Amino acid sequence: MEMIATNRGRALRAATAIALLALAGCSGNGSEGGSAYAELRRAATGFIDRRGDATQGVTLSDAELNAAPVDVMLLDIPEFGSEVGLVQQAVNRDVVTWVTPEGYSVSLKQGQIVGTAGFGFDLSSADIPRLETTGGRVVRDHYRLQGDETIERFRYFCELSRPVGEQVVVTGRRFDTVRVDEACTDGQGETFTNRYWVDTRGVMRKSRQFVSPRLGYFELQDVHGGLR
Amino acid sequence: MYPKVRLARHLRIATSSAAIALVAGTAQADFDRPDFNFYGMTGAIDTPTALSQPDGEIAVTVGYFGNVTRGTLAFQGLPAVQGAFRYTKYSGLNLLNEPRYEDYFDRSFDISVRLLNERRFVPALKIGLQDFAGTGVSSGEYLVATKTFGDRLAISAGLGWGRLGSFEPIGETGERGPIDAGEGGDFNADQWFRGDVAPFGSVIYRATDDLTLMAEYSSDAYTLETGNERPASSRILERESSFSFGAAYHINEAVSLGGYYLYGSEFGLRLTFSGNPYRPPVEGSVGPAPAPVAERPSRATSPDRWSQDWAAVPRVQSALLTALADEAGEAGLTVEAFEVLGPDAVEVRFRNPSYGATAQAVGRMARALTRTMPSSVETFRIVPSVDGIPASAVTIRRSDVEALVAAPNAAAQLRAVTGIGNARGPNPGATLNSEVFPRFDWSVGPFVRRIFFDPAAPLRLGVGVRARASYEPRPGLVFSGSVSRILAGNLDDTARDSNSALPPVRTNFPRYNEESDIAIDRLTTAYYFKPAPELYARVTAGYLERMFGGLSTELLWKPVGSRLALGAELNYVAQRDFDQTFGFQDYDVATGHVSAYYDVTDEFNVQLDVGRYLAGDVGATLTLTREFTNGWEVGVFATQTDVSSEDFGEGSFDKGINIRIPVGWFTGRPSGSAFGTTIRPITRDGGARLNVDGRLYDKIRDYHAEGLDAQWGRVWR
Repeated sequence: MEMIATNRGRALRAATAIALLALAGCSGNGSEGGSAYAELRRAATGFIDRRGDATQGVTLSDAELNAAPVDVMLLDIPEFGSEVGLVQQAVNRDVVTWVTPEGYSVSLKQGQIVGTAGFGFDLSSADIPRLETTGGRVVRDHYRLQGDETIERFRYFCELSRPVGEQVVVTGRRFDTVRVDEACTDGQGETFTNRYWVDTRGVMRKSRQFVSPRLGYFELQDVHGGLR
Repeated sequence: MYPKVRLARHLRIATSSAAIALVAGTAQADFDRPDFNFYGMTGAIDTPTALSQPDGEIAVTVGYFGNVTRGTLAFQGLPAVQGAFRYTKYSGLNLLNEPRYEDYFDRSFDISVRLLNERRFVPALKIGLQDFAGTGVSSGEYLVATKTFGDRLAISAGLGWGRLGSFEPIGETGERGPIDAGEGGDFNADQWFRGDVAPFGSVIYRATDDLTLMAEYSSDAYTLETGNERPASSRILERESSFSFGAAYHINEAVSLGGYYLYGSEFGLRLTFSGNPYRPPVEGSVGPAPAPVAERPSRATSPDRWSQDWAAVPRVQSALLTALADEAGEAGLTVEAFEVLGPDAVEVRFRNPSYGATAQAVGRMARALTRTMPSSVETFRIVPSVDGIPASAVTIRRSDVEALVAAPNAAAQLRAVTGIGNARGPNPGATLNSEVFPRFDWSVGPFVRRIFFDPAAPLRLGVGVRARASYEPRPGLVFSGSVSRILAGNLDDTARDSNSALPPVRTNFPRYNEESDIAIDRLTTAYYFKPAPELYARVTAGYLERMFGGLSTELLWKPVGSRLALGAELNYVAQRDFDQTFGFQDYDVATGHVSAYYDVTDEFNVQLDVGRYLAGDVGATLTLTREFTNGWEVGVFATQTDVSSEDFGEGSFDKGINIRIPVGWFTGRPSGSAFGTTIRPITRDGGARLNVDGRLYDKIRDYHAEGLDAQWGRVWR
């Protein structure tokens, strides 16, 4: 074909080809083109679309949240300045998994984060200390997937503070709690401090917990725990 | 709840900015990631240093000064070894003194090995070969030592031979005769470290974390480029001084830009893109969490839920298959067949179109099983199928899944209680998923065809449209075809008739590009099956590839836990007509190989193929591949057959580089796709192999123990 039509319509053919590239093809299983390039382009487009509307927070009022038909957990990720509402996805023995509307999950054991999934730079799993003790030294292990696909253990040596009484406000409601601080270090310069507020029902009403260096802290507020 | 949709969008911004933050992060302590020189190797300006890139670092460098443009792909294949492939354009050099070839293009390979690591009072020492197998235009060898002082200053001094010993030599080691380039591409071992030897050196100062200043004394006289070597060639650059100066700036984690004043007369620019398989944009993956593991009710409180009577219910197998197929479909997996092995055990065969990490697919299937199987089912036998071949059988106990899903170090704990064994061949008791089979699939899309390194145009491109369809009446039996038409590009300007001394099995590729209208790329019937516990087989017949059609058969022996695999492939093929419709030319050949594959370590794979090639030549191909756990691969191969260098033609023997990069590495999202390419300096007819689809080894082993273990960390993800 190229030999026959050397002069005629070369520009036209180039234009057609570009148009075809833009269409990126179609297929019988409904997906938009299965090629690696198409996939990468979709990801890039998605990224561009997401920029520029970074100013929203939770838009429901406190009253609306309190009256929500299902249990809600509020998650704030200060590192990104984003806030989102979580609902329960599953209960496995003593671990409750909560999900964002996007489907990202945060798993909690007695209120402490033992895993996240979907955010990237996630916490794969964790061995967490008991908080009941009145202060003292504890050990905490975090397991995270590394760039080389191995799961590495990060061991932190932590100091629990003596509990102090403190009032916290969650969605407009005031709770009497005890606050426990957990100051951790890996012994090589990485430090963080988790903070937990546990109310008189034993519910972790509010917390700030370190997840991974890239995700930073997750701040959780339990809207309904023990209130239904 | 509804406003949360907007919140979710907000969260996505967060995660993508996490990815970007990593790419854009610039802080680089000390000399962990030193700069690249104009040759695209670790170095100063135009000379090497003994510093090293991180293991696995891949960099593409484009540098220009004095009418010389070098494009280099460099790879730190081992912590102490860096290799490179380079394509150089000498604009207006007139080396061949022929019209149409005023510019001279040259391909070259480099390798360097760090012999000594830097210690407190001992500098790092590196030995290197530059352009060690080409026509020798850039050939040089060096020994270089580098000492760093703190994290800011690095001083290097070295001795160069060849090109790097051409300016003010201080001595000589033996005789370095003129290079007998011959057909090029052969090792010039008798030249290495011979002849004049001259010193060079450099000072590198990291003014800030992102800005590096450099000064250099070069021992390269640029004899050829200044017009002093071959009478016919033109002078394309001036060399007034041995000193060069420059600055390099790290724009971000991946890109560095250098500006230089070289040899007292020339300005130069260098741009380097670098990446590392183990430095992905996102660690872990972005995207929805998996469906939860469903916990069974307590046997004490709900004994009726644990009844085994269901197993005797007629048609229960197909009812469970439907439920499981729906659940697995949500997770991106396709159930091929399902079998109730008893009231306490089931087996599912499935395909994984979604996850590059095969362990992740297995984990998702285990979750789907917990959500659909009656409580009395305790054993899950999960059988990944590749084109209808059951690749392995992963046996997981349901109690373990329930107990470990939220446990500390859950992935390693699950692996300890997971069995990976051989799959059965036929499974006559299973129910085939009638939603999937017979399976018909089609697609239409654009494609790009590339030809590298044509002497008159280094890159030729054609864009076109391609339609594909496949029909699979039952697992493993696949009728498929692909037709394409090139719509635009410059593939048709080559017009070089084959000058090969061998049957032109590959060198007529320009005619295949020029003389086709609507081309049948492939039209085949393939049958994939598992004849015995550790054996896998393939039979393919039809139009196998663009240039050949016929019959291809393959048998692979690969135990699930073995690092060694052995294979045999026998083909009888005829060369297709240039128009790529149904006709054949009158060249036919029986070609085939016996192959041994061995995983030397988790990161290195060696493959040896011995047999008869398409042109009837007999010999062997050795392939060495660095494999990264996340699916990146960088390999080199070379083929030596009974064809002489003269008969082979330019390049002397067949060799090249394979690269494979998984798409999911870039996006941070699960994906089974990958970019892959093979770069050959030149395409000749010696050592050419049939390009048949569906070779077994790479298909199967991703689901064997080493393939599953490579990304087992994602089994719960």
